[in-house]
Amino acid sequence: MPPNMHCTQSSHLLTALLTPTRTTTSPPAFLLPAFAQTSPFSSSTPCSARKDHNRNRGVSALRHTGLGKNQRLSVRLSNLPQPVLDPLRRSVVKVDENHGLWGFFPKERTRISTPEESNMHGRAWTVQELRGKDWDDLHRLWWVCVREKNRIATTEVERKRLGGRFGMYGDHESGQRVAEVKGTMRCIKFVLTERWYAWENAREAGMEDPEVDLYADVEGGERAYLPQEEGEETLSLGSEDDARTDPTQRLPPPVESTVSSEARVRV
Amino acid sequence: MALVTKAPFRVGQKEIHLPNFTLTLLRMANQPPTSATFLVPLSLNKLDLRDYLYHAYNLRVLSVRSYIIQSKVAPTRPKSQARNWNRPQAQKRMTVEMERPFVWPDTPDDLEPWNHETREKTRAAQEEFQKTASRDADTRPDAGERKSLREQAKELLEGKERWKPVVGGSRGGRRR
Repeated sequence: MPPNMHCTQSSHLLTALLTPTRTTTSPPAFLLPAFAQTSPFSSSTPCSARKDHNRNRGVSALRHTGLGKNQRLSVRLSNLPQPVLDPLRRSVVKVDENHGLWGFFPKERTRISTPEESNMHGRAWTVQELRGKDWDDLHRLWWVCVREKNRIATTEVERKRLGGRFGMYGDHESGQRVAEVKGTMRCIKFVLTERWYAWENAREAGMEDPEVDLYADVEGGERAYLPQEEGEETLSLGSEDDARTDPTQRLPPPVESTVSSEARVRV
Repeated sequence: MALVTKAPFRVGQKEIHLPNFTLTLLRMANQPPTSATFLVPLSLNKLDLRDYLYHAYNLRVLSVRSYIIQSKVAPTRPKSQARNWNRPQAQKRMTVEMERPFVWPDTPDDLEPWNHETREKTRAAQEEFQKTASRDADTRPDAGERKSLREQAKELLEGKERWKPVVGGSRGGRRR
């Protein structure tokens, strides 16, 4: 397009509309008067931007901008790429099957899950079931829960957006599902906390116990548990149960009945 | 399951166990397919997001942009006389640029699994009822009642119907 020509000039409109494009469309009937008109619409003189003869406009010596001495740009005004505005004419994007973002969508790879799909879930893990799991398994389960929560949150936002003014069903089902996931996460934390307290109690007991050496290098071969020999120094704290539970003592004699034979019922 | 490979960026030394926050993927209308926008917690930073997406979703990001949307001051109870104004928490969004493009699956054609139509009708009926039960209901004329009265009057005048006294008094009861 020549520099002193404006894009709204009728001659330009004519050439733009009547040049055969990929999809040949004839202009609608109500636009025909525009082509009949030969004079410009505006009566004022067209004021086009004058050429700026300053090649160094915007170039900064301090910031080292601008082209180098023999640098040539690859883009020319005549062959600029044009965006494809019509979405139907754009090329189809091929999405990788293993793309990471699929983790934010349901298993079926639909945009949002239906209430029925959301409802198909089991119950949360119980504390008793998780007590038997090791550190790595508990952390893996935690991350499974985190990913599921992310997926549900994505579905919920999109479902609310698609629902419009009146909304779409799925609130209750998603809420129940998230509650189960959160229950599992709570139980994981419970089990880990319990284990920590057991470890902490054991550590404190070990620090006070003379038979335990907490600083032993077990992998190096040192023993952490050093039981002391049983000697005269050992204290025996007596209790009422000692005589009963002492295996060295004989059984106590049976208690003789003090009831006299006269008390028997005479037949 | 892919093996955990060494991250292509510098990973921090602090190990974070059991993080408890949610990341929501948002559908943005005019974004190119190589971009994705997430709703993130306010305390998350760009480095955290890059790390999170790599380790949890095996997604490599080329760059991350973040912005915070401040909420407007809103009343806690809009429809009551006693209003407490507060500013809800701000929302943080992060946009990432990915290596490979991703296009969202299509919107479902039939919204019947979500009972959209039923919900629409229920809500519309509820709104209509609420209008009749509201305090300013008497400012709105009941068009249906007016039409019914007009028809009844016409029938009486034309002689098609005969007037009968209403059972139940002035509050409107059964007709015999």
